[in-house]
Amino acid sequence: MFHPSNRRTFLGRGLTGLGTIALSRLLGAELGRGLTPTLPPKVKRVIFLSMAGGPSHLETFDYKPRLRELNGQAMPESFTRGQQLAQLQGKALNCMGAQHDFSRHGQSGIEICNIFPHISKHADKIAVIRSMHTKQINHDPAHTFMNTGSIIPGRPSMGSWVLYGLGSESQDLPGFVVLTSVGGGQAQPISSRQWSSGFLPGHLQGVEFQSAGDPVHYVRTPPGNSNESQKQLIQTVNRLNAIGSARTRDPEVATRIEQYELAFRMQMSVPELMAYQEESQETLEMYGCTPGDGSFASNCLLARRLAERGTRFIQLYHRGWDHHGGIKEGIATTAKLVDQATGALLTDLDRRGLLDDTLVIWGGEFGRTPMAQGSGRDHHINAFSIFLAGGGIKGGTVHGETDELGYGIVKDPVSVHDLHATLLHLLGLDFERFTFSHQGLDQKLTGVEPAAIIKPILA
Amino acid sequence: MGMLRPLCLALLLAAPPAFSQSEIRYGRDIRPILSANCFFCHGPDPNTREEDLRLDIREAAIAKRAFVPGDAGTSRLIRLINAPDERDLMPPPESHKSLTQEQKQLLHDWIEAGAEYEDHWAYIPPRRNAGETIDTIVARELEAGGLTFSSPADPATLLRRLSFDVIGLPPTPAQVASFAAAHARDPEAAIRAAVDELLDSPHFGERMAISWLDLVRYADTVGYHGDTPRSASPYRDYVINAFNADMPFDQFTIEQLAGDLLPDATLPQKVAASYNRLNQLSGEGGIQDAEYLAKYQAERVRTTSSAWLGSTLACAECHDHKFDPFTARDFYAFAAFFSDILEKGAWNGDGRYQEDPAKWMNQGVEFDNWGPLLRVPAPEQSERLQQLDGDIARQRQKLETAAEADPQALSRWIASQRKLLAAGGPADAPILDDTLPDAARIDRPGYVTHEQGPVRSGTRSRRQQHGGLVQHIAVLKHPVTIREGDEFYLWVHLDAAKRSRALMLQANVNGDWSHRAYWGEAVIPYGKDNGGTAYHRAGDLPQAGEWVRLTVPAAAIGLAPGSVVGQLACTQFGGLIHWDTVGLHGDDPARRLGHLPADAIAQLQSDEPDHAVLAAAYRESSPELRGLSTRLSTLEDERGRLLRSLPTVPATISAAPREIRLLNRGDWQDRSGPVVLPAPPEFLAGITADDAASGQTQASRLDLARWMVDRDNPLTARVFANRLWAHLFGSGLSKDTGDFGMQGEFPSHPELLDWLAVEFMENRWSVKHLLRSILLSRTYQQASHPDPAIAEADPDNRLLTRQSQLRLPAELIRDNALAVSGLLNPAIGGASAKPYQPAGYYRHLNFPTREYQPDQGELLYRRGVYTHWQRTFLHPMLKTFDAPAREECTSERSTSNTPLQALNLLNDPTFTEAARALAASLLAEPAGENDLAARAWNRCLSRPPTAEELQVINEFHASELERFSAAPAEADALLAVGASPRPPALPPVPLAAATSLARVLLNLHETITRY
Repeated sequence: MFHPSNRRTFLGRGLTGLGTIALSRLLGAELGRGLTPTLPPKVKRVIFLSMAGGPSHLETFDYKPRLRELNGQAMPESFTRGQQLAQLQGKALNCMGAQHDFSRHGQSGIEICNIFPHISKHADKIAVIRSMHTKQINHDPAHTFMNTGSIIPGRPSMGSWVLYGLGSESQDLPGFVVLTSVGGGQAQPISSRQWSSGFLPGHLQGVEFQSAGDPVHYVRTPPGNSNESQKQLIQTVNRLNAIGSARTRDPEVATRIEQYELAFRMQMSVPELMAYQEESQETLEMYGCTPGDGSFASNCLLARRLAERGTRFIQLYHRGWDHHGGIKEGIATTAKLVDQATGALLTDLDRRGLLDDTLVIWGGEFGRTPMAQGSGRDHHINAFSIFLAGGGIKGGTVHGETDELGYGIVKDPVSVHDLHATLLHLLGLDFERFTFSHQGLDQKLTGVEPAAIIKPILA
Repeated sequence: MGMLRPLCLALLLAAPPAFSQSEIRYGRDIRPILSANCFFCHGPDPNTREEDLRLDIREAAIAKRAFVPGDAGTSRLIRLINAPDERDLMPPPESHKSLTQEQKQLLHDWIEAGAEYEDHWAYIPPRRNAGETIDTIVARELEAGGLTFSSPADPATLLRRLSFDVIGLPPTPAQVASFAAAHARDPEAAIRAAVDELLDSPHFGERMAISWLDLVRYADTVGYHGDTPRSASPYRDYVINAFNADMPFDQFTIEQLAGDLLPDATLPQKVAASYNRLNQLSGEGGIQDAEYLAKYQAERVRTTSSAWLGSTLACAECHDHKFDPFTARDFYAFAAFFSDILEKGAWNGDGRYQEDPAKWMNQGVEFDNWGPLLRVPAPEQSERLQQLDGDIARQRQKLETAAEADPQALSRWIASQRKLLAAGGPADAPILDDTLPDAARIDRPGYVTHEQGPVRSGTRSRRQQHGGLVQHIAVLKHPVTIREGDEFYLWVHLDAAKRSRALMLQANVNGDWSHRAYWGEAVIPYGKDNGGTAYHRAGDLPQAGEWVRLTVPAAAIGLAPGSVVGQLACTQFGGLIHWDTVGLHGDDPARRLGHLPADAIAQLQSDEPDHAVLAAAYRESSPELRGLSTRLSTLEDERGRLLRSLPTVPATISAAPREIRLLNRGDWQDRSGPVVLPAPPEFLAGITADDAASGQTQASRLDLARWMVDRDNPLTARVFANRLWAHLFGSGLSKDTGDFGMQGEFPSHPELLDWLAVEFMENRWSVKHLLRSILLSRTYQQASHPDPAIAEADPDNRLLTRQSQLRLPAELIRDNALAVSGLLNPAIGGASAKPYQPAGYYRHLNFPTREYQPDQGELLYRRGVYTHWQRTFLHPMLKTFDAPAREECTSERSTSNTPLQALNLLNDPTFTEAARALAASLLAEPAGENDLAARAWNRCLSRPPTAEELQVINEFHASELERFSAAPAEADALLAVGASPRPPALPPVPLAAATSLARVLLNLHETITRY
């Protein structure tokens, strides 16, 4: 079993004459500092399941019978005139009906595509938004917009903002962790800019856990060393740093010492984090994974383990939703890789009492066109669907509505800024007051444009 | 230069009077309050202005009765900021802004004193009083605060500081000792000599380049989407060389923005102009050309205005600036300066250049997937090229003389060729082969010689291997006409082990590729749906392991007599095939002379041949002269290879400017805005399009560059001087080095900033001069550890009571470890280097997917400034220590202190290897194991350890000796880290223990800090 408190103090104990308190604390440094939430928080952490590539809303959460009736016929021009398209620009535009059937689920009767049998079981726990829209039609800038609220590279990602606002709860692990997986469709590249801290301090950036090899860069002690010898070495470094700081009066030393302590705890706790043998066979079967195989399912399991250990913001990318061609088989394949584990994660969080204070968000950077692109669909920014679950979320809700062909929004549009505002709100941060001064402006995650909390989906 | 008009600034008139700290200054005390709390609704942007009131202009504020100068009591502003009723209160509560009591008092006192405005400090050209120095200005402020300078830094600390600041490398213990001795004799002379020596070092340019490359977003990859590599290292080397040569900053500016436009531009000037094309590019499928052109243009405005002008023009992309007098029109007028750059928006095949690039291609400009490029020889390559050019000219001369010397031989040759022509019967005529006159073209990757693989004819064959589809396409220099009865033949050599499933020959007639013959399985998709002559099965795959001649009648692939074949493609599915000659077998006698150019064949058939043409053909192909021509082609081959191996840099080429429109709210699809011509921000004035005097239709990048470094431009020199100050003190005199606008910080020492800017400009914009002025000041040479009383009085060191304690930048942390261990490769310039990197780090990259291949040998130990800069996945060590991705201009790096940094120094093989090399080099010294810890300490920290420090490190060293003695295998394991060879003479256990000791030292906070 995991005893963080033991680890936290052993370094202190090892230091001659310094008693049982960590050296850094004697020197007055304090880690994990955040601001105090200004509102009563509903959740403590976020798990953002980023469905990278742009899942089709028309084969996930937005059923359009009329589109099926018009299947193969020309898309009425009234919908598309003057609109920006990606690869379909200037091509013939024909309607393409949903490639899979939908059914109603739960008490709420939310319509969900049949390729998501596991998520469907949670219909009464999730709030579906069918009226998301975004500004960027290509993957890279669209992700940047979804993550930072800006299309200009160099802004902090939402995970960094949240960590800046609330600090980390974990003494042994990073507060913002990113995991990625692929499969089921064209895997568009994903840039580390997506979890950058931008102009916020560097320690707030997301730490990507590797799906193969060491989960964190350089977390493995060099050959010829044991945990014990590495501990000795770190203790020596810290003792010398402490002695030196008396001479230099450098206030950074206290933080440095603390970071070395944290680094050592990470070296110890990361292997423990990956100790999947603790998981029961039933749990593994529920997720449907071989732990550590780099799959989305394995990452979901790891996300739960991170959530238990206090990681504040966990972002999972599944790069496999870019179905320009062969969407019928493609989206079914991707859904199969994602659906069971998403359902399992919700179940698992729930039964461990973690869902009440966790916000889970499932969605991509944009949707896909109601028009066919050969046997697939092109990128679509005017409307797409996502869902949220967890603390503060009113389950069984559907918010927003698209037109009869799923092209534009006819009711309750939700912007990326609105989503950010809601996320911050649930964490107890007032999105209008939550700022960081940079280049002469009080910068906000929600930017300068108006944003609003999506109240109807809140419990 | 006709288009530049002196800066006509009404703003310039007021020379800044001297102010004391206690007086209220609008710029320092009042404007920050108004700007942060009021200007959003009562400032320059008309779109958000309320009540039609603006407070940024005194007359406008008075006209609207916002306040009455000299009478705070009746001023509306004072009443509203103190309003008890929330409905009246300013700023309104919903703005989430509020004034402190102190700020309210300041506003009150200022109005009482007459509410005088001042022009914004940064927009007034810098002036300075005679007789002042850096130290007198700083001392005056210290005195006003009742403070004094700290004592000077001790010699070792000072030399270490100077070394890191000027060349980015630590001093050796010997250098420290000799400096200390000289310092004891004559401190001033010793310091001066050390500064001069450092400024003369070729490593100076490397140190200075780091922050400049951040500003100009230099990187080795395109950034967007697939983030594929794009060579630009000659530009990086240009920057290093420019700093080393102390190129005046005005020239440095002009060359980067417009080097290509200078008359008789030199190659380095053209390389400098690559600055304009270092922006991120996208080749993502489905992107729109116009959208990405808009992105690139906006980025250039952001980067250029931030790098040179310290201005956040970016804010004006969608609306007039909220705080500064930049308008949206200014933004687009600034963008228009760059509209001549030959480029596309979408680099995915859909984008269009603004002008047909053939114009430049015909002049020999090379283009790759990302546009035009320049080849830039290194000095030794340049030398070899010149040599080759001479040799080639001499060889040509020899060939001509030889041909002329024996007219009989030429006649004999003509007769023999005519005989061939007259002979009847079918024969082989090669179309593709390296024995043909234009075969030099196939000397390129993919072609192998006899030593490398099977070759049937000539000296080369095409080696083609792939798991799936692969092909090579040849564009025929002399298209061939099909005759009745012709059949194609091709020589192929299939590998016996790496089996292919099919191979295919395709002919292109007038752009139509649907003439295909294949052998083997029907797995090549091209033409499969069409069938017939578009997908003709010519037989089974031939025997593997030997050369085989395959044939197919031209008619079988739909080529009627008279068809003209312009291109051929050789395709295979899987396996390894060597391809040699492709030709036509038939009854055309002229084709038997296929190795001759068409015009020579025509002359042979003519009754009155042109002998010059025949003589030229003879020289190329006669067996008698083959020795000479082979030597010539060898030289030409080498020249070609050398040219192709030269490093490249994206070229900035000036084409017809695109039309630039003001984009409403930055929307690239909205073409309704007015067309704008290039112009600098209007309130700074300078260039207008109508005073074009030099025949240009509009102002150019050259005009912009010259305007930037005009003596009256208030920003450029100040911005650079402030950044140089930040380089040496960790923080600018105006703290935000990227924002000199109203929201930037009023400088802590405005007179000092102006002094530096004027000093800079008056001394031919010499960076070394300005740097030397600061390095030799008392202010710079102070100790950095604050006296507790001083630390309390001046907590953020804004009064410069001491030097700063600065963690080294990422690159220098690497350099330092390599330097103290002796691993450092001190070479200057060259292609970017690839040190060790965790496996699999690039696995999210796609289009194409790739795996990182670290360099080998010396290249593993290059300085950090040369590390391959992958924008989307920057090397983890650089990233962890706060180096920016360089997607955009970065004016300042953050300085974080994280557990990942600790893990990096503790466990990254680069540092473990450096520790081993450091240990080995110490043990190899005559002193051997004596005083090992103290010597190691001195090497890493430029000072001896204290007794307490020595005890701690010796204890650790002893315990490691014990540990490794008990487990020698552990010693061997530790020593195996890193590619550099381990000295065989040193026994493993002491070396491993010394390595552990060195690891401790490389991890110390002091080791990565400059004090």
